[in-house]
Amino acid sequence: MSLNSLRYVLKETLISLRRNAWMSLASVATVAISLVILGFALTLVYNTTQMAANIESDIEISTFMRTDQTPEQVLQAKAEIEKLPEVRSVDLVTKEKALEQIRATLSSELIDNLGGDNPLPDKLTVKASKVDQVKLLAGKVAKVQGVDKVQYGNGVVDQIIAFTHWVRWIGISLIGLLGLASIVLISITIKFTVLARRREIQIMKFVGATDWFIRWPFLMEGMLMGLVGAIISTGIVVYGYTSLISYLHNHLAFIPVVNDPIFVRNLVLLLLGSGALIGSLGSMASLRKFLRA
Amino acid sequence: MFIQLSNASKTYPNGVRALIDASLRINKGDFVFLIGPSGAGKSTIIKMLFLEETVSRGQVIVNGKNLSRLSNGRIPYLRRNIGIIFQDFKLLPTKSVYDNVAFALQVVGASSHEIKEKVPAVLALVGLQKKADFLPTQLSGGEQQRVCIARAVVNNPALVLADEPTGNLDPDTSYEIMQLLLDINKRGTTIVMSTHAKDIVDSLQKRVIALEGGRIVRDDEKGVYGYES
Repeated sequence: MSLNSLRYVLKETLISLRRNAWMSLASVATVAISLVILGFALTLVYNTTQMAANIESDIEISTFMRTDQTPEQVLQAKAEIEKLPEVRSVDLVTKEKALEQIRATLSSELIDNLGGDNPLPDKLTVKASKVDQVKLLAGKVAKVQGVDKVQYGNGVVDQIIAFTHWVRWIGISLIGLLGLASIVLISITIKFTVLARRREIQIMKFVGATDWFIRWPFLMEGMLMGLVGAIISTGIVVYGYTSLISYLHNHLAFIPVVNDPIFVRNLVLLLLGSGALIGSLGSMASLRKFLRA
Repeated sequence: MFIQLSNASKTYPNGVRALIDASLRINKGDFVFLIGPSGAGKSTIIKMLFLEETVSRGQVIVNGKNLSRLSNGRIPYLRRNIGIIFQDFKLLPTKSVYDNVAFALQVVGASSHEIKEKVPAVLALVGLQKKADFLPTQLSGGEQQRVCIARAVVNNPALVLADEPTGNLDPDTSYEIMQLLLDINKRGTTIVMSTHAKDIVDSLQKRVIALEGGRIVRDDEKGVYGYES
């Protein structure tokens, strides 16, 4: 587009926005609201995922060996488990060591009454590198030669995974619905503009304006509405998130909120991009029909 | 030859056969009247020439281009070489006379320098240089038609299509508009004009193509209207 055309397009865009001030405002507000929800949903998903990853370090798979296994066989089982791709670390707690621990914490009298027998099994403490692999890994570990039974997590892992799952789906459906609403609203706003300028558009076509030349002002109008909505939502999300972080740090320090500038930057870019996309989709939707004339 | 219709027919989606097997040739620089009763097919021919309507069967060639084969993207560039004059002027009511004419240059991406040079020149041609800042509503019908003509010729098109340009004007004003169109024709611009105005057609002695019920019934050099209008 030449500089002359660009100047024309910009002027027409601003005139049109002013003419439909209230409709434009409503469109901007819907975009802002949907993007605020998108922003917070993403933040929540990101944080729960990170939280799950942190908790993961506490999740051990306690692997109990059968009592008939020799120390060599136990070491062999340990080596085998270490080769599994999901494993981060394997620690061996021998039955002798376990007995010592019990002697230290409970009564040594009890142990002495066993008369030298050690009824405890050898235990391998297995840690997974990712939280969502714990279940899978436990299944694999249980099949290793000489393993009696495995124990892990008491359902905590399943709950975290289920939670992030739900947050994700509710977020996606909400965002989908609101995104659609924004697109429809913007397309209605643009349709008003198009109708108000039907005559002008007809004359433009008769004197030889290209379809893109006619489209640009409307496209810019839609994109601008989307972008303004995105800027507002970015402000709300970033401000809300940072104040939440500082509040939690000061009052509820045990909740591990992530303070990651790269995540915030990506979030801002994503919100701005979505705003522009919603805006242009909205205007394209209403432009397609009338330009065919 | 500049315009050629070969067995051109147009059937509208509602089944109306507006044009049936029309064939004609118009040379560069010609002045041609299309006459006939309402619904005879005059406007359909005009609309097909700038591709507001497409031909259903047959061929329409303008300036060496077969319009049925022209892609949608090329239509604007065809129209930049055609000026169109309407019965109802089609001016933008919120823009001044100057801006209405400048509009035709803006949408084809002309520079502001070019606009400042061409608009006053064409306003002088149609005799409206003193009314450049007026709004269309402040002008008489004849003056509004002059603005429409100015807009049509500001791009210096090779062809001007006029669809009943004097239909809304009184006889004196119509005569002035015709003088203007003849002046433009003298500069080498081909003009195709549809009209009901018997007096104008009879007095100017130009080529007349008469239509009836979608068929060409007469094509005379230096013709007359021939109907009771």
